[in-house]
Amino acid sequence: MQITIQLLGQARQLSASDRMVVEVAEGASVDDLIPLLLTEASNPLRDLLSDDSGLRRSVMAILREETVDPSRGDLLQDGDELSLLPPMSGG
Amino acid sequence: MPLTDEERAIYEWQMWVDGMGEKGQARLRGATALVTRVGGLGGPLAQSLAAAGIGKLILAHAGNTKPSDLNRQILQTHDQLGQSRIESCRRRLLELNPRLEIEAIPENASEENVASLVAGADIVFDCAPLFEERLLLNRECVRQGKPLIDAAMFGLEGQLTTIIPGQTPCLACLYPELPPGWKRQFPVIGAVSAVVANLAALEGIKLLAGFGELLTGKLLIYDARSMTFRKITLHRRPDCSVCGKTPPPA
Repeated sequence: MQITIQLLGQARQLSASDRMVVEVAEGASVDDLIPLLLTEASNPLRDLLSDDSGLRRSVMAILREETVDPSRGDLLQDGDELSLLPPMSGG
Repeated sequence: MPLTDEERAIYEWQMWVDGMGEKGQARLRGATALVTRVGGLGGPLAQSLAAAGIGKLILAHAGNTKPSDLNRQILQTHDQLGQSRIESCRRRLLELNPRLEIEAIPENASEENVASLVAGADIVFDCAPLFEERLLLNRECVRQGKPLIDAAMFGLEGQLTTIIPGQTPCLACLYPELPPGWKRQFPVIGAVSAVVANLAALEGIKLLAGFGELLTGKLLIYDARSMTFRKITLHRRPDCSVCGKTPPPA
């Protein structure tokens, strides 16, 4: 399946591209995508998005216009786009 | 109390807006909003609330005007550099709307003042550049059952949600831990702040006047690079340490 990962906010600034397309097997979940992203990520991006237990709880994972908890194991569909929105507090 | 002839003249075109009318206008006039802080977001937000005829603003923001404020903090003026930021806010808003009652507090929200700041308001607008302040306001709004409009931006992006304690996710549902690595300084063009600020002001006006559909349980994401908006569905965390046990509003 082809899945797009989109980076928003501060994450976008720390990456050469705001989108990456990855190939995953049928039956893959949101949780399976995160290691794929972090493998390619720069250190600052990895620090922003993740901690020892995976995606930081304060980073919003958005699938089909709804926030999801990656640990819930939501299954992906071909063509899905997962957006990652780190916390934003500019005022 | 009915609107005065002067108020009818000033808000005539606004009362033509579907859902506003004289009833909505009177509700706005009877309302008090807390805006903190009053910078790139809070400034244009307070200005739009003042223009719309809100009755009272409680403004909280410490410190003096700096040069780097002037690309977006539209309630500041060049001749205010080095002087009290909040006094400039008061002066500029009263020039626009002399009927407005303003309580101008030269402090940022803190553990010492947040309870009294929120207690005086019917609605709270959270425009702080630090998560500690945002989460503090959130906690107090949940405790007091006050609606909270949370607006934020970074670079060419912005976001906005309306929090009704006990009904929607609160800010701690979205940010259950203090985000590490957030810096007090951030990339900003004033026009982006103003867009997000005015969307937040509109949310507040709709809530107070009683019309339209609110961003309750939704996060509006704005991308100025592509000029697109998205509306994302949010979920409460059942184990939220702030609102997890809060019942729905009466």
